[in-house]
Amino acid sequence: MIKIAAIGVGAALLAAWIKTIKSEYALWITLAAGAFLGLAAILKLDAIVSELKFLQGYFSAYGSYFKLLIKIIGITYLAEFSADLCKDAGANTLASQVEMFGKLSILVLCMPIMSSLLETVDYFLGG
Amino acid sequence: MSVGIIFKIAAVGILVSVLCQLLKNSGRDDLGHLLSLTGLLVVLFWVLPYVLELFETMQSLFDL
Repeated sequence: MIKIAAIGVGAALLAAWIKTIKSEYALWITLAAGAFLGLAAILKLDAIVSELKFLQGYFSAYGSYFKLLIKIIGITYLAEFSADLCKDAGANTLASQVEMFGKLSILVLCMPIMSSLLETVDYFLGG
Repeated sequence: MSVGIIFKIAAVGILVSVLCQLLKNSGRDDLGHLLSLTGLLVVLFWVLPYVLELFETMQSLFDL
């Protein structure tokens, strides 16, 4: 953890300093450090995902929802990472576009769950 | 693995800015622009594999 914190702060300071000399390299340093920290975070997340997949065995009926949950986590992480990078570069328009696309793709993924929920409710109400 | 590349990018940035200043003083300003472009391309080819690895790991882990 110490290594990750040190890299984050170091890259931020280096980017801030090099912005005064040559502004475009600051973004490259942020991108490189972000990619590395993201990779480290994902390797840490790997254990959680495999545990979730193990849990999936118990809920045989709702196994597919776990897969959907993991996919949504991935989409959120990716959209957040790239949107913040765009914001760093000053392109707020692109950032909002990326976020909007992330939200819409999550909504599309959740549609089947919504319909099955309504079917269950309908079944309970003696539809 | 990563710390090296961050400092390499900073080094390229400083080098390019110094050389651009040098070229500007010697009157060859257009060469300076070309030089800064090549500096950016070098950094791009350094950073690209890391970003690619990140996105591929993400894709395989979350089976997007």
